[in-house]
Amino acid sequence: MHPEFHILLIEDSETDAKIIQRALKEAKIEHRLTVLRNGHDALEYLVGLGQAGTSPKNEPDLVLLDLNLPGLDGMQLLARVKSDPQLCIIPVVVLTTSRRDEDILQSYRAGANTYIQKPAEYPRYRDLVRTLRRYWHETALRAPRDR
Amino acid sequence: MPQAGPREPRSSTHRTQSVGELLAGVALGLLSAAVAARFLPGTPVWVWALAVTIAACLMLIVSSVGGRRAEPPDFRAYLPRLTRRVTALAQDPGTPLEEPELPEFTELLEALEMLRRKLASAGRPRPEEARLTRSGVYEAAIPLVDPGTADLTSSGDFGTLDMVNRLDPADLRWLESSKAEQQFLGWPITELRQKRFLDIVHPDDRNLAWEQLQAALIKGEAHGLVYRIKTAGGESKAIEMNVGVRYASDMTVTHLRCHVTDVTAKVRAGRELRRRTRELTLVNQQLRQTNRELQELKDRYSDLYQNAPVMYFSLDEGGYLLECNNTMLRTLGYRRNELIGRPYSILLPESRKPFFATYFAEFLKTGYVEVESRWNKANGELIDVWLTATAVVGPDGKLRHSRSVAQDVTARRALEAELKEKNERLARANVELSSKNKELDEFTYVVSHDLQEPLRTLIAFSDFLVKDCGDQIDAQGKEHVQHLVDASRRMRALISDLLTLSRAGRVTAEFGPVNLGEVIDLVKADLAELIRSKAAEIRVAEPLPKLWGDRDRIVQLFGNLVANGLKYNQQVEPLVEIGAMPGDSASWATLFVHDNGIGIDREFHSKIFQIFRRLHPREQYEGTGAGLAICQKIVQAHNGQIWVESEAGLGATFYVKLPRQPVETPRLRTEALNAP
Repeated sequence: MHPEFHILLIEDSETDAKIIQRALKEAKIEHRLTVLRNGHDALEYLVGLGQAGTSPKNEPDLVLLDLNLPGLDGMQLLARVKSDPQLCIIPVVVLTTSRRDEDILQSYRAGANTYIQKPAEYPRYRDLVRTLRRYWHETALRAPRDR
Repeated sequence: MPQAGPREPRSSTHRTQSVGELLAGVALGLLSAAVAARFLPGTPVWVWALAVTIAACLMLIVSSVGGRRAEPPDFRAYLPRLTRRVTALAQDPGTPLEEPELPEFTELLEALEMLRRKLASAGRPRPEEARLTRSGVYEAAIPLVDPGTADLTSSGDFGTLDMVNRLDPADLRWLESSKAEQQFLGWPITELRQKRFLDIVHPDDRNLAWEQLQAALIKGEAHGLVYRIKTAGGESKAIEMNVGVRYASDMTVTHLRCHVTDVTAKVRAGRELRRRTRELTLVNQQLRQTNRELQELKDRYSDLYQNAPVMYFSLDEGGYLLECNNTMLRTLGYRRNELIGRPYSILLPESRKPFFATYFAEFLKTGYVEVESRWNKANGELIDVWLTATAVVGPDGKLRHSRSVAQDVTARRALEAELKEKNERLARANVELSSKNKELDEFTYVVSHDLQEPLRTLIAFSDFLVKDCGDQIDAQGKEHVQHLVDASRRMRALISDLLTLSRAGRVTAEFGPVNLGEVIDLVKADLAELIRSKAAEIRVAEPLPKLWGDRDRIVQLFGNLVANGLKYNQQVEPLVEIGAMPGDSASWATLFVHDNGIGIDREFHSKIFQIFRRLHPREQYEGTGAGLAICQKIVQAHNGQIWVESEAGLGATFYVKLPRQPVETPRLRTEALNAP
């Protein structure tokens, strides 16, 4: 288990990103947060990880993915990641405002590991990040990297 | 007449007696004459002569006997008896004569017997009477002439091949018979002489034969007499006789000369002919009956063909009309001679003619065709027809004619077209509507989400502001921030309700049976916290009916109604009662949710179902005012109804009418119309 919890947050809203950052801090979770603001950057980042010579340390423990992104949207990004044999092992949590049935269904079909609606009240964010860490960092085992 | 008395000895008064006897003889003669006169009016002179002779004979006999005999019999005593007998004879010529007690009277009695026979014959006694004679059956009362004295030579040659005989006129006994007849009958003449003709005649023909032969005796001849007889060999034969009566020179009948012909074959042929004729008559009757039935059948089928509700016609192999029924003529307005013998294509408008060549070729090849076409009516109108034709093929495998049926489907086509157009319009409207609905849904979602996102930020950052910069903000500033947060929360609640409302009218799940008891249990579980905090009671009036609908929405509906009953309630022991109204139909149930809360003033009854319509200040009662609007949308989605009965301060009762079984929708009816 890595000592720190590396989260890749793909979120176009700066305030939302700040809220999550604050929630992580207030939950006193030892973490590393990488925030990317659009789908293209995120895809580039993720594909770059698979390149030879890159450090496995940059590989996130968890991707928090917003669906509503400018350019390449969250759903498209998700599909690309999950159809890539190298990247598909990275757990992706869809974190979005939408609770539309179509979005939920489509996300799971595309290979999302879970789907969470953004909490309405800030205090619930703290509970959320704690839950995420407990599950994805302390409980679940990561897939070993194929080298 | 003197009475018969005891015999008296002969006296000296013999002479006187002789005179008396003579007188008696004359009296007897007169009596005989009287008898003859009675039975034979217009009697020939010879009868009178006979009667006088008898009397004279009697007198002579009496006197001679009286002269010869030493002990003469007592004639005077016998005379009265004789007289009585003659009287009896006179009354009934059939009365048999007794054997004479005195041989002297034999001759007299024989003469009387001749008279009797003559009388009997002249009176044409019935055969039964003849039978009463002492000679036995079939004895004829005809003056007996010794056959031996008859003229045989005048009766023809008995050696001839013809069947000829002579019969005794008295009893019809054979006197002579030709060889041919003897052979035919099977008896030699010696035996035939012992027989009477009637013996061999069929019992049923005997009376006729008797009568005819008696008639012949009187008339002198008879022809074409046909009788059935039985021969010696037991064979049944039929003979035809031509009879002639032969007389002696004194005009007495000597015999009947009969010429006999075997007509057995002819009679049998005749009988056979009659039998055949009867059979033929019967067959003829049956044929006539069958013919009548056939005619009726023909009429019925003809009517069926001519006036069937479809058009029948037939074409020959060249496509010419051979026949068509009256329905076709009526429908198209043609006369028969305008169609029969003409090419079928005259019915077709120009645009259709090329198709005919194609499908007629197909028909000739496959023997069947089914096609939609258009026909010209006589008045130039066009009708749509639906045609089927099957081939009627002869034993040589060649097409004899088509058996074709045509139906005028113009009205149906028009209706179909109209219906189709309506359906298309409806479908277009539906598509538009559903796309609009979808757009609206999308809009609501997007708006809700996009609105929620800044609110979340607003709430979160207000929180951060107080936390991070709390020491820089005074109490007044903190209160302002709290107002911001509260407003944001209310805004979020409104958005949430708006979302719920937009979903409420949209029934997502398939309708199915809904157990209302289970629904209420779920509602109670959802509202457990509220019920507990209010120390309220939820009372259910059993039994609750089963409903038909979207379970989740019905849970939402009752959840809202019960929550309202609890929320707008200031009783120490708030009570909400749920139950079904009595007298429900099988299709619909009316349910009530009654509370002992604050009630609703009548003037607001129509407004409470409007979205975000609040009757009370927010500070007093929580809520956005969307609850009842959501309820109404859910009920409408079930084709039901919702209404309220309430007075301010007296609690409220909400009524909900919901289906218990699938409700037929207009869409379903349209489908039924389109079904084949």
